[in-house]
Amino acid sequence: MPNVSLIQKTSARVFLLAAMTLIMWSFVVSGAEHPLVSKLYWLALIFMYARMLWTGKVTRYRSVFQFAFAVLFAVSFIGIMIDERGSMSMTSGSILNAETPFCQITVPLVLIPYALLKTVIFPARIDGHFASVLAMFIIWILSVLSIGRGWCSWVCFYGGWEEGTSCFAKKAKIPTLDRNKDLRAIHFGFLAFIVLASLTALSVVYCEWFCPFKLVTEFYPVTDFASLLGAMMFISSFVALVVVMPILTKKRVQCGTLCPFGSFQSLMDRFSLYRIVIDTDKCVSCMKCAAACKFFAIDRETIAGKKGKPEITCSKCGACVETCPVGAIRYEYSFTAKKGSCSGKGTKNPFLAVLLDPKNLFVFSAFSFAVAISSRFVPDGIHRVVSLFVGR
Amino acid sequence: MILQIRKFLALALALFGLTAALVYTDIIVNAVQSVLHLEVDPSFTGGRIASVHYDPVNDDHGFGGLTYPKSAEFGKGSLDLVRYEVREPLTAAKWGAYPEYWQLVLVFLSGPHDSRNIRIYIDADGDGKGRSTTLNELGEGVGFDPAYPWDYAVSVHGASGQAETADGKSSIPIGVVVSSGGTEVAIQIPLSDPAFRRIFDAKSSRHYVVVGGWSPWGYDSYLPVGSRAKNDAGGGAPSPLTPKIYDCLVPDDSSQEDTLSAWNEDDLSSPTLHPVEMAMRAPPQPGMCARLSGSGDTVPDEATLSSLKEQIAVEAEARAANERSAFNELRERVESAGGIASSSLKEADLQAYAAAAFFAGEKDLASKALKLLLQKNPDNPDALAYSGAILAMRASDEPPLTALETVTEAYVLLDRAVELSKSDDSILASRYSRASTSRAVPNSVFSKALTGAEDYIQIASHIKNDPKELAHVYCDAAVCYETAGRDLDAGLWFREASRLIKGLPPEAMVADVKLELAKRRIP
Repeated sequence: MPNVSLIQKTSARVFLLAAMTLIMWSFVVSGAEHPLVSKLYWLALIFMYARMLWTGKVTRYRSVFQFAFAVLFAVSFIGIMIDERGSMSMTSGSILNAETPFCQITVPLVLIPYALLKTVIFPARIDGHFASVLAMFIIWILSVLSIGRGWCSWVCFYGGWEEGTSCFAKKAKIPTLDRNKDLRAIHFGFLAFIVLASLTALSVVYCEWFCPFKLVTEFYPVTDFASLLGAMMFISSFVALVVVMPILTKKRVQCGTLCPFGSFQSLMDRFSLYRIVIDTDKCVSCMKCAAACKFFAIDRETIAGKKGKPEITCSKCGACVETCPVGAIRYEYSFTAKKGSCSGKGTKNPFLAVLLDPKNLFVFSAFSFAVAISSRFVPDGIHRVVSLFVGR
Repeated sequence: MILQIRKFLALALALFGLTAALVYTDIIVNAVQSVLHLEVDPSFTGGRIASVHYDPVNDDHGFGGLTYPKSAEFGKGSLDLVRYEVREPLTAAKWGAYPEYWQLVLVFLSGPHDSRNIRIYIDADGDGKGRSTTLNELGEGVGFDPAYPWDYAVSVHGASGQAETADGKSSIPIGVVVSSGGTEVAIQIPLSDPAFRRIFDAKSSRHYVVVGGWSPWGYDSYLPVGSRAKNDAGGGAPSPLTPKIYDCLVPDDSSQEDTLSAWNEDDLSSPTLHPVEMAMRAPPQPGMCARLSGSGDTVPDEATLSSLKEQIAVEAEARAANERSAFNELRERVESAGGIASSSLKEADLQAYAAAAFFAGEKDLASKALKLLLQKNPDNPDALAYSGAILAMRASDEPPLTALETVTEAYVLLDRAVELSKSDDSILASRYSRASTSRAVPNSVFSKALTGAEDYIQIASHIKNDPKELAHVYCDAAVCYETAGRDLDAGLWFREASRLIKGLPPEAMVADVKLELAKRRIP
């Protein structure tokens, strides 16, 4: 006699996998420019999601996916820019005609100037599907309402670089645990500074001077001393914050201390559907979760103070959930999360219990979001890389 | 219980909500934009538009008879200036080569850009001081209104240029940004030089804009013009005094041809150009009508509008009667030949029958005939075009989500029809079908207005010697551009439609064009 509960649980997982497979098909394969590459990518995604569902371990697959997405996004984006303009650098025409791609990092910097001036202080396309202001705003609102700051650990095609580089070393050479609080303060302080600076200059100062990801997307042509200085800033910040520091600390340093969108998403996370909660009764204060957290969201005070949840910068990557030796940390719905304990209450039907498990729904939402955003870039990036070696 | 409901809502959001929202991002974006009307801050894009002057399309013949050189470098319409914009001078420009500059934008009918020799002479203060001769003697072959001598001259060739003062004491390099396949030329005059700072204070300025061909061997780099076109010289010039100008701006109350043909061989005098006055400050809140029509036009009265509407109804009735009688005639012929399924009926006759049924509003009969045509040849562009148009029309009676799918299906047929059409007739049928569908479906949902506008412009290039039809097409293109938020392009084609209907007899059936123009206060 087969175990009825096991069958029901497996059915629920199969249902989720089938739904995800369909979503992946509609975004990745349907109408794809490179059908073969897209189908292979689709199969790889199905494998990853199936492993996540059945093993319950998401971190490894998430890291691999996000790093690959970041690298291939850069390859594809740069390729598209070179196809369109002949170079990676922005042209005067693209700025004057407001055709510069808009990215989510700019969202918090244009909001207040828009409220005051009713204009967007960035020369980007306003409407349209690809990297337009409104498309990015809609994606941002969707992420706020669903996965919140989970965007950073699951979807962000910039953060993936650090997700990868932070895995390069086996052990952190520079421990940050005692500095987590200060680093969080720097993050929000920098957000305040950059928002005010953008408001004062009526221009997105972060993009002009600080953004390290210009190195892997597009940048101003270097024509004078100011643009040379800007180029040196973004190259050095990429090398220092996206490559060297994540290797030394095993943390996502740029995401956790500089990225304005990251800190802004942390503030907006209260509107999201999902939370990470820590069961303070179960917690044995081993601090393994703090070591695993790449976003400086758990420190000694979080655990000793029995706060029952990570700090505000938590990006719901799930690393702490998997690391906790006593299972004291888990995903919860924001409307069921209670301080200091896990509700653990749910339906008795095993099928529905799996289906309505907040972890399963969060991972489903975050992964489907990431797949949708990556659906054109990753196959295009793979196609461009392959074309380099075997020709088109 | 409430918790369970919320969990199921979370499940629904995860399974359908998020992905559906991402799939329909385009529609959501268009809907939001139609409410918010977001704009990029003008400090990035060269400043707010202070004034626009539209120049007639296809007037790149100078005094009226100049022809392009034979060299392929001079693309058809590449010297045809169609729009001239003056921006507000910028003091805190962002992301540009200059912190403060003044931008002038010239839009041409087509590219390439490197065969043009552009000169702009500007009277910035109206003080009567300056020069009324060209920058270099015998350059363009014209003179300027002595009442408005120029203070600054701007010369542009390709993607470089310079500006200089009338006294010749100051000359500076300027920025030239060419985009949109060479059709758009943005000229940026840096205002850091004290000699050019007067521009900041000007409330209006007077501009002489002339466009000639560029030649490395021509005097003052102007392409020479002679009686016959050669590779390196334009043709159609009856006299050595013929100005070497292919297109220029003239005030609204005069014509380019009259102005440029006014040379006199007896006293060797050259034509005199009169400036176009351009405002230097944008109106406080430039609404669409203000931007399209300029200031000072009167609002059309209700009586005029209702009379035009009545006229449209009468014209539509007459047109429908014509279409119906043409269809009935064809129907009789087809029925006498044994009906549409008869093997003796030729494909061309069946196609004519289907088209006539379509235009007579007999959608079902047209569909049956089109189905047969597509069975015989699935790549018949005309049949695909009419089938697509009928499918899109049917969507208007369907519930929203079904209509969305139907229109998407219709565009698969319409796009295929446009792709397959090779002959003039097929091109017209497929483009007309797609253009009229694009005009009819809501742009906030389908984003097809721009496709429609471009189709209408393509249709116009296939219409020969039919100003009435051309006026309709230009007007439809303008409406599509306006819907797509491209007000400046809309203005250009509304003006072309207006220019064309002025030359038509009163009985011409153009009430619908007149109504669109009247609504926008375009004379």
